[in-house]
Amino acid sequence: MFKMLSRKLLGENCGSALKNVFISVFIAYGLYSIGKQIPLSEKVLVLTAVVFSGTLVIQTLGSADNAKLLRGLFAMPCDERRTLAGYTAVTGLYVLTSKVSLLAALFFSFTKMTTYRWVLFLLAFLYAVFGGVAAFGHFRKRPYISVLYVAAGVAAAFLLPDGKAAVIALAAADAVCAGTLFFLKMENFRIDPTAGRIRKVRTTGRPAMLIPRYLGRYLLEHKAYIFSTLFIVGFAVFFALNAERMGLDIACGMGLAAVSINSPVSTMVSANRGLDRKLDALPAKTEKFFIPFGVTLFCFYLVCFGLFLAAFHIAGGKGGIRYIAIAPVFAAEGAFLTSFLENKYPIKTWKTEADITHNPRKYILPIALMIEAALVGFI
Amino acid sequence: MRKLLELDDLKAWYDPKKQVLKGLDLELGEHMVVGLIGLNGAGKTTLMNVLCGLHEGSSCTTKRFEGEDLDFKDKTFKAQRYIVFSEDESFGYFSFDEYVTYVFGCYGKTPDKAYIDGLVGKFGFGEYRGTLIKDLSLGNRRKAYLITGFALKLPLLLLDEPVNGLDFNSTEALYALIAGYKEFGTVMFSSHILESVTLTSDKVLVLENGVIAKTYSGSDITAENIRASLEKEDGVNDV
Repeated sequence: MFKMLSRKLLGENCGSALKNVFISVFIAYGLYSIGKQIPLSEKVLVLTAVVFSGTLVIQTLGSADNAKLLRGLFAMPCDERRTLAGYTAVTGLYVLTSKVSLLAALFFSFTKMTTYRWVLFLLAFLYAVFGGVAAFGHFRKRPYISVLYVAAGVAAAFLLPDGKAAVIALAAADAVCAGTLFFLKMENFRIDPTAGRIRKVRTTGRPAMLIPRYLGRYLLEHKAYIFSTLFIVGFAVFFALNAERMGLDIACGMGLAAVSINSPVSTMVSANRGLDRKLDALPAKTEKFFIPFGVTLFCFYLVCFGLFLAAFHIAGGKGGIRYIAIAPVFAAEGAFLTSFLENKYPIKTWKTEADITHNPRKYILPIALMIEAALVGFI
Repeated sequence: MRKLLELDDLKAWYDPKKQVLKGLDLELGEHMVVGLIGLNGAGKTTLMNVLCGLHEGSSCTTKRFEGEDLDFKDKTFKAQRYIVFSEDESFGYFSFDEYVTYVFGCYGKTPDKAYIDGLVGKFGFGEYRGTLIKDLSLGNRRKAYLITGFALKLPLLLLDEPVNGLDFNSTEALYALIAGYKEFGTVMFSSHILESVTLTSDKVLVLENGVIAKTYSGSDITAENIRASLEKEDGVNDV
């Protein structure tokens, strides 16, 4: 069962998962070489790991991709306990290798991670997996239980004792949480994102607005993409503020570049093979799709950069004035490059969603903007 | 009848050592209905994809459209043909009306609203016009793409397994539309359903082992003839 489920989320022989871990290790050592350390309490470490991992677990369990995977599974005479155990393990490994490994890379790079802290991080992650699976499983019939799991996760971080007691408390919480999974059945995880949701839309006669409307609906449908955008902006502000306090003049520009790492938007065409194929089959794909797509992305990046600069200044950042003038230029470059890459070099060889998220192509834009930010900093 | 499309020695492959299309010759006239039939894996979808410039591994000694040399990926050729894929999940966040507006814009055409309304009525699609394509059932999604294809009235319309997922009434409507498309251009469609080709086609091409093994036209287009041809090829008959 594990093997069957893992093929979809982790790739053949866990190939995608291993590739993602390798990329995270590469990023970790790249960032570590900057040599900047930020003090971080154990409570913040655990809270970040629980909230970040738990959100991703719930997002993965509720995705349309999973709905397709499970539809076939429900038709098979599977053993309930083994299937649920396999499903939990695969979901946990997917979240760990595809997304949480990047968080681990950031912790490794910018804060002192002792063995004790790594153990706490791992236990917090396990709590997020067991708690996230349990919260998701209970949500439809007993949402109050789901709320309890979330509250318990946050409380565990805030009430975390010091020293070995923290490890024992978290390990106990993990064991209890894992034990409660026995009260769930695979049926609790059945989802059908489109069932009963026939939405009518108002059509206006303005063809110029078709692509912006399409992108808007895409983002509203995948609300997690909006949250991940806000998360990236928040992280960029945190990163830039700390870098500025440590005397890095180009911190604000680096933060702007970090904001441009937004894979859901920059890979919208690659992520939908049907759309990519249809665009190839239709005439005038550049004029009718990728130019309006680029214009829409320009507005999107402009809003993200605006949010970043506003938050950066509110939080006490100082070196960002010149970047207010540069933000539209970065937005235009980001829009052009993203649209160009999606048009001419769409990612075609992906098997799992994480293959797109971690495709090297997505780092071209942030690296290009990072170099420009450095050049601007020297002017 | 003037020639619309001529292909000589068309080869296509996913792995260069294993060709799917093995030197296929194809000739389509203007204003005709051509049915393409073959067993699973015969290369029907690959042929459609090659014609749409979507298949990378291919070669062809002669490629002509309306007497002129053609490039499958060229914008001029693309503007002369439209394809309805057998499986399609594109533009899910458009409604049907938005999709039509967008596609007509790509072809530089203005939608003929009255004609489109007529097609919508024939397929019983009226109540779904404002629904997002991603929220439609398989059959209704297929109707959205088919109506768009017929409404464009292009010289070449390609339909890959168009009957799949359609209800009885819509299938009848589809047969009538395919047969009537000669007024505007040529339609080539692939199918597993013998009835769909025998009821509509002027010419039936039987695709076997990557080549056109048999061509039927006129009174030779009968279920018995085609079935016999397919049974001879393989012990398995999925028609």
